[in-house]
Amino acid sequence: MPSLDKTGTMRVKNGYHMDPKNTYWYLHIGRASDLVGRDRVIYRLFEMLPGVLSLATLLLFIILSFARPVWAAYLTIIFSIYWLLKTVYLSAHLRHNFKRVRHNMRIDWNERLVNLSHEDILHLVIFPFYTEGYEVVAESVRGLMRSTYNLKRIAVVIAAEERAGKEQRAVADRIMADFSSHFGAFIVTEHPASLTGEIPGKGSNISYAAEEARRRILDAQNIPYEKVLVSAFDIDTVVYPQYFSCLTWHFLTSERPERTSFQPIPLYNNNIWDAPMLSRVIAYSSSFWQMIQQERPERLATFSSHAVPFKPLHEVGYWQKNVVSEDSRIFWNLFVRYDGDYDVVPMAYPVSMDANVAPSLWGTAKNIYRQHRRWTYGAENIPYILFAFLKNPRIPLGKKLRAAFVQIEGFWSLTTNPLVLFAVGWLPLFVGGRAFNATVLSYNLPLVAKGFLTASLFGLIVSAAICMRLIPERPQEKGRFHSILHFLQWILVPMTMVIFSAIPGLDAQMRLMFGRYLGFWVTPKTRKLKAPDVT
Amino acid sequence: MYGLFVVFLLCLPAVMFYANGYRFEIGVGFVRTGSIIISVSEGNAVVFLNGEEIGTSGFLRRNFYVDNLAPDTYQILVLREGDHPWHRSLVVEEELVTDAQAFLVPKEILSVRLIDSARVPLSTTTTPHATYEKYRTAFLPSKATSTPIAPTSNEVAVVEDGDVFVLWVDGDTLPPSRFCRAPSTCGTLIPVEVGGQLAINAEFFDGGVVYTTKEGGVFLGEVDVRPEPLTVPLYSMRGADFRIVDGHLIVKDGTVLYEIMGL
Repeated sequence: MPSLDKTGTMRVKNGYHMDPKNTYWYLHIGRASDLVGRDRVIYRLFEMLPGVLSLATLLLFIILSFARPVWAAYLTIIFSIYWLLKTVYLSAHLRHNFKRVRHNMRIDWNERLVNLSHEDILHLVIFPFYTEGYEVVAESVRGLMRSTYNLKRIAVVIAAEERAGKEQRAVADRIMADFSSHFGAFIVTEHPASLTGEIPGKGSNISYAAEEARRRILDAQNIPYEKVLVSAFDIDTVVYPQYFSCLTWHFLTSERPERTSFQPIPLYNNNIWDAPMLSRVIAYSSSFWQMIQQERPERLATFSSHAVPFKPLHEVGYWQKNVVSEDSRIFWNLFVRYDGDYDVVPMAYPVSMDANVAPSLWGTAKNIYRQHRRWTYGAENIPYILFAFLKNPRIPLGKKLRAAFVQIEGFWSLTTNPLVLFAVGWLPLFVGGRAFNATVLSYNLPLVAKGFLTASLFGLIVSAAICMRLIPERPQEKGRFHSILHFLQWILVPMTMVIFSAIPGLDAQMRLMFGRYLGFWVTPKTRKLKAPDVT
Repeated sequence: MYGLFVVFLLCLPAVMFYANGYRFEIGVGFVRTGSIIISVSEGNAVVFLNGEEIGTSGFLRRNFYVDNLAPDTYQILVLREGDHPWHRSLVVEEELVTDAQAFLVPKEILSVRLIDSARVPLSTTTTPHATYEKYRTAFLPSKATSTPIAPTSNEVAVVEDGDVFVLWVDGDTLPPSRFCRAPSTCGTLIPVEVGGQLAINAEFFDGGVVYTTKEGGVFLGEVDVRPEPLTVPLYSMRGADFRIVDGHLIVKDGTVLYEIMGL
């Protein structure tokens, strides 16, 4: 427990008041330095855990390659078999989710709502906004207007940042002037710069916006909190026409609507025809990963654009203002706050976002790397979860163990599996020495491992086939050759897995391990086209 | 998922045994096998294993890997037009790979007499004077007693009591397979010329050892303990000696210098 100050209140660096009498005093811990004494040491050790596990795995391979190359070769072969079976498993989930997405896209969700009392549900949509241009913001708002849901039951919050300057505030005001009349409510909030205890980023902005919306819309209009669903979007999130109807249906038919968040699938379709091959592969890989996770809801946490009921969101104090991964952290905040009695329902319905596009390929590659480092910095949830689990005896042990294992294994395999399969796993061949090189095993290692990895390529074929079905219609100015490239691009996956997944993942974990904490980096958004439809 | 886990558990031992060279033969059961790999540095060489052709070397194919071999002794033959045939008897052992590099030596080797350009200035076939002097002084007594230089620090060619040996001098690491009669039976000494003639000088050259005998002249011998290593006469005149100068093999017969070409 942290020590008390003179007033009997624990005030920590992140600006949250932590009352020791509050059962959930640890709810908004951002990093070890927010704590004192023994708790700080424990949290720091937990922060080091993901990096230590990943490094230890890679070091183990390197050491074994020199000292016990036969063991290292066995491990590489085991990894190859595991990889093939994992590919089969994940591809089956991907294909199943794709079918569900197609099915859900065909359903008329409004018709399904006819027999459900839903008129009193209000959708509060938050668009955090930094330096993006008018067109990017306007296109997202136009997406809302194309929605088949009653727009008067949608409240829009354009969450601007004071630090972005007056020009950006002017963009937000212009958006409000142009579109506010269509919606039930429409406000612009301006998150003050340099508030203590915050890191600049999406979490602090949307938390501020949510509280402003509560004051200016919900309380002002006496709207019950339990009737409000918050969609926390990115500024480039464009909804498909029945998103709100689909979300409402899921909310109303949920077993415990106040204990459930809702996760759409982020498709990076907005600008996919303008994105370079590298960017497309990575964008779709991210979407596919989310689609796979949707078939394993027990592993699902919220990610990127997501929806959460306002009441628990308010009770938990909104999104954390002092972390990078506020999108997934909010799920863990709620999970801990409600003693493990909180879930995510996969919607199997998409929203469209921007793939990474910079003026140059190198710029795009750098942006992708930074974006993925930010995403994989989600490993910061591991110390949070473990620490909260220690402090919260009301969460059932089984849930604790499963959640901890899923998170730790997820970040460990994200970082280590590609590096083992495509790099250090082959080390015994080069450093194993003469005795190892004289074994049949040393000659069969590349043959066997290559065989399993080649067989795993069928997963790429599944991905390529599904990708072709999900991309929007080819613009007229793009030739047929571009469509072929959309299929062939998947050959880049082994490379992207190492450079844009494993290495940024390791980078993020090392930062966490050495206490060089990451700040929030805003992915630049530029776009030429309107959000397209799923075919 | 549980089905895949069962597949994983079933696959694992099967793949591990396969990777280690275990094969299943109907009526026999599981057999532990070994492999042979033959490296051929030149193109257009035909490789035979126990009389059966297994391939021809080319730009993209320099190594011939034959697996699933029962433990036994196998006869390798490599034939290349214009080169001496290369034979090797290789022992295959369980779970191990026996490797050998074909030592291909041209049948036609030339001894070109070197003429000092200072003596015949107008000739186009002469050796520049400075070069000739370098070659000539290499045979002076002080140079002649220098220790032969090995291509790697781990191997040394030595002449002892008229015999030529190659020694593996690194006690910490296993020697290459040419020191091993079988993959698991390695020594540290390879006799290159023993007993027949009285050797007086030896040095590594072109993948083998060049040595001189008092009786027979200059030879090129293959460095391999396994039967039968190839030996090719390079300059068959009694009393001849050689030096390797800047990568050139120079032979001195009396007062005349020759360069051995075509290797």
